Amino acid sequence: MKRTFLLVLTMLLVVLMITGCWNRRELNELSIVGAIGIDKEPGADQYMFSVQVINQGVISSKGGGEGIGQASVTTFEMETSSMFEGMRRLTTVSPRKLYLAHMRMLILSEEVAKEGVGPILDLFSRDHEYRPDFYVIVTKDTKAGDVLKQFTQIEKVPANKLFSSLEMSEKHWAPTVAVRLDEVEASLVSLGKQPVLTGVMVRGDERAGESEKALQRLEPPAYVVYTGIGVFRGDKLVGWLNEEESKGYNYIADNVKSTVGPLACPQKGEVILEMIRSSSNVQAKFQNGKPQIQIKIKAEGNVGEVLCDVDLQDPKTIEKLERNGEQRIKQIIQRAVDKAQHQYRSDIFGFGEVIHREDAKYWKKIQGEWDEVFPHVPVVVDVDLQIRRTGTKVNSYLTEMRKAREKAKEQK
Amino acid sequence: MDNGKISGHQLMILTMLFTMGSSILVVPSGLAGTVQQDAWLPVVVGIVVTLALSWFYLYIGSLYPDRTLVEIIEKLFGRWVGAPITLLFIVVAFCVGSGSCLYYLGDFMTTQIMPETPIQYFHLLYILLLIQGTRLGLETLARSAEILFPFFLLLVIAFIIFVSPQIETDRLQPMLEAEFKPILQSTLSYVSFSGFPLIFMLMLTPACTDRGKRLQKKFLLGNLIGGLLILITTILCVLVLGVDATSRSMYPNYALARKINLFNFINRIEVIMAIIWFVSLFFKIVVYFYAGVLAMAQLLRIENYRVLTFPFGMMLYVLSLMVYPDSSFMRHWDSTIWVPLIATFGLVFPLLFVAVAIGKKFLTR
Repeated sequence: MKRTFLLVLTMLLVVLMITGCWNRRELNELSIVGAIGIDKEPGADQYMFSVQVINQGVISSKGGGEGIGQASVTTFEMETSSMFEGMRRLTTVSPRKLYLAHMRMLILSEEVAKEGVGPILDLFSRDHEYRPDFYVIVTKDTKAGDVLKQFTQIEKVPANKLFSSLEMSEKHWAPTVAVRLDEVEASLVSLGKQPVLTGVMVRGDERAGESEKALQRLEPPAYVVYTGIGVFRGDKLVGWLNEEESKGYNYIADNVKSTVGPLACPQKGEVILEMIRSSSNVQAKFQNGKPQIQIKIKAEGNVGEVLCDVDLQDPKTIEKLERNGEQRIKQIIQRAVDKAQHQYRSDIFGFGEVIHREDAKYWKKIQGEWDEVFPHVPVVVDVDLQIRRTGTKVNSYLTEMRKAREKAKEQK
Repeated sequence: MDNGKISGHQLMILTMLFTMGSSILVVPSGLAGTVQQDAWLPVVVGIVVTLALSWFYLYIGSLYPDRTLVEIIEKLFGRWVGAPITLLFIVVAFCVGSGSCLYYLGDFMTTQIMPETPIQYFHLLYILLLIQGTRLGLETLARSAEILFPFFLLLVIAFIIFVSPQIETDRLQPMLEAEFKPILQSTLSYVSFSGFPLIFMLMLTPACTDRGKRLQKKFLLGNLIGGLLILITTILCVLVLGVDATSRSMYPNYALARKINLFNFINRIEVIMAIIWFVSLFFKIVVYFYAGVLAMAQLLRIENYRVLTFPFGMMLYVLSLMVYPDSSFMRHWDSTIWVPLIATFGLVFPLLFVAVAIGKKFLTR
């Protein structure tokens, strides 16, 4: 009897403790954060911490009911000296506690990036609520807060738009790179690699884009667009790669999944090539004790658009196009390498790590001066391009037009 | 005394879980910190050392078959000299062993999953489970381990498969860059987590129905599987997270589980993956606890060790909250003091036992 009583008592005690209600957070007490932006006025000692909070009522309501006439997200801003304080101080503005596990983007402004991202990033990997799956980007010619305030078309939540747009453009267009926080941290720590982040800017009338009227127009007054890649040295942004150089960067970093680019035709005009596969192999070779970087690109593509008069039935033409394409990719890559080596002096490609992998002893000797050695390391690029198919058509009507005319002339 | 009998298979599972125990949570971080991308090397060496140690421990056990560690000590040193040695073993198994492992569990929960819940509640829940498990006896514990084993393996395999798409083989290179001394140091650290504590398994081995070679085979096999699982997770940590993130993470395996994202569909399942170390930690603590309680009962000649479980459980509750004041001390203590401490009990004392045993044999002849 006594035993049963004790047993029941213990069970009840256990029940009390395993309900898991200690840390309960009800959905209606939380604000789900979609994106965070960090700004800093030049010379100011405080950061501007902006969050984009998802308006659950609007997102979930299907016609009528709560949240009609409200925007799908809200942005709050708070001046702060540290990220964590800013986040918590935001409770004075936001009626709910911020919930960060669904954050998709961390946007750093150009000013912050130029001054150094060192004092900013720690919280986002230390705090347990942040997950490692958001992307970090940096703004170009605009404020991070303003990027967050733009209404976006098609996607209700701007943070989601930024997220999927970055993934899509990396997959299908190539000059952007989706970087996660742990990659930034790893390249900050590494002596043989410098960080890069994709740039984002607002094109059009920023102020008009912040009004809900923007959603009612067929032609949005402003768009949020990704531009080239920002180059860092240490934790500071030192400059930008343009679209082509960014593509070159991605060729080296083996980030090109698919892209589109023009090739010169044998006579004049262009053929647009759709790259469907590309893989890169970066190796370090030593000659007389001096390192040399060898980049080998293997790419496969299809003819995607023909803008010139060219005979695609002739295997020789394809071969010619392949050589042209190889030249072009080589050029793009060399431009990116050149800019990194000579203009920014920042080893964004991780050549240092390649040398480290190849010859750890040599690396040990030079790792301290790598920043000075890097600009003088010769880089050899070797591209092998195969054009496999020409799409659903053989020759372009441009070619057939010429042929038809020539035939007519002959018959006359 | 506990008259329970466990099968060789059950002993193997218990050994495996005991080997993995807390190591699986903390070992990768420390190793990546000392030997960077060569973190796998000390584990490989450590597994070999651990296997040799296990063989050695079983040899001690075979000197007096059917005797637990405490009884062996008493046989060797007599009651009055043996008692203090046994007491020292109890202190280590009980205070340091189960206390610190319990703290690991609480620290893990409060760091990663529920930071606002007081650590006391995690400890209390686990201790209630621990007391009940120990009271039910070794047989019940071994059977529950056996039942959990397939699920455990399934989770581990799922874990390995789910993170493998994110592997970047470059991260292991350059191979064998680490120097001799750091490798030795981290091997020692691995052995101090997974090898030396195995001496306490000698409290359990007499309950196994298998003897001699068969026992040895099961014991070493459990040991090997546990070690390999640690090896795999360590390599995965370096391959997926990279050296920097692994060494700077409190719990790199959890960080690894957070990275799981299959087709944007299977993701955010890290808490399910955490079951792996809830299970392995539970059995590590329970073996320590059981060994400690049983040793005390045998020392005090208490017929039924079960009367000790509740008071010891309450003591453990306080101890587990006291062993480490903070997580930074925990990491420091584990890498500096724990190693020589457990080496004393896992190496110096066993060597002494063997020396005395051989000496005695010699004298009686």
